[in-house]
Amino acid sequence: MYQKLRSIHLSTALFSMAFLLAYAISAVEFAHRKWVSHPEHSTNESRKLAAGITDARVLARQWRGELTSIENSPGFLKFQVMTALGTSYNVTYSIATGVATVKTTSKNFLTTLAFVHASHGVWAVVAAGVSLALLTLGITGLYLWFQNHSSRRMGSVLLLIGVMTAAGLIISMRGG
Amino acid sequence: MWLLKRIHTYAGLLTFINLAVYCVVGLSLTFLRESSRAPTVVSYQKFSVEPNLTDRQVAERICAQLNLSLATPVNAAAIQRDAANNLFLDFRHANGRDQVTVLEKEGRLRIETVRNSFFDYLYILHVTTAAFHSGDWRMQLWADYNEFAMWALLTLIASGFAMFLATRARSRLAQISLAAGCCVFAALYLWNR
Repeated sequence: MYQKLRSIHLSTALFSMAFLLAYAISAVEFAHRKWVSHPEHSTNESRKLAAGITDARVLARQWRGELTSIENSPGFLKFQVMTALGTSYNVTYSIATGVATVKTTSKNFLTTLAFVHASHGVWAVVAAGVSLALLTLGITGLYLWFQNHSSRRMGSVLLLIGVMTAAGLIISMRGG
Repeated sequence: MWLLKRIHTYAGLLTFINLAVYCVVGLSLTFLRESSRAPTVVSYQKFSVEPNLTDRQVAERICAQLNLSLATPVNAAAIQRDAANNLFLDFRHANGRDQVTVLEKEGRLRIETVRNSFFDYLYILHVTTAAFHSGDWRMQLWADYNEFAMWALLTLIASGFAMFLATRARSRLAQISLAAGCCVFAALYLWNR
């Protein structure tokens, strides 16, 4: 039983390590945004699309992502499509000529981790999976700790301190 | 190695509840994202505004009367005026939102309360770290403890990986798990970028 749970703990941890690191590092980035810079990289390009389209939703299918904003100007359609990791495509489309200027803005790696954490698109499902992995790690970890007699006493004290502090605060503040 | 194991074990035990909160938030965000908002409850309370008080001082007294310590210190953005030029206070806190209209001439407060679900409450707690400064000692203690838990999670990952390298690096199952997880992450990242 011990060996089996130890294997589950290890393999679950290693499989989810990249994801857990992404969440942990982005948590630090969210909490301390001033510690790191958030550079962006933009490129501009021109594309020839079919002329005469007045529905941005039709045009937006050229790019994969969420259609987040639309602006109608005389003779032009302006819209933005954003991917789940924060890359944005700002498109200005000329209805008469079909020429679209596309400004692609991509975020740096740390900022994309923040988008992973914020769980848009498929990352929302990933968040659930990682949560289950963390739950598995916690339960198996508790068992593995308890089987180790030498750390039982100190571990019990720390567990008690942690549970009483955190749970006590959660319950107390929920009351107002 | 003994020290690494102790650090790993004790970091996990000390922050067990915080990690459980992260689990619950991650699951609830996925499955309860579109949950409906609680209804707004409107109530009234007697309140007399003392003369020569600033709006902020009035806001702080109202916070105390309504037991809204989690909404302190009162944010400047919370102090507003409505169309009738009544003092309007928009208190947002972990348990929801209290919008208070101070009806000075009537000597009472109109309070519109929206209470967060337990999962929304946990969501707010999970994002509260030491960068946050609260007027409520409980929330400040939670913020500091949650900051510690955030760093403890990084410690757990680092110490766990170090233990794997030191003792189980040859395990085929472990190697496959690590490789598979990294490949899945990389594939999802590149596909969604």
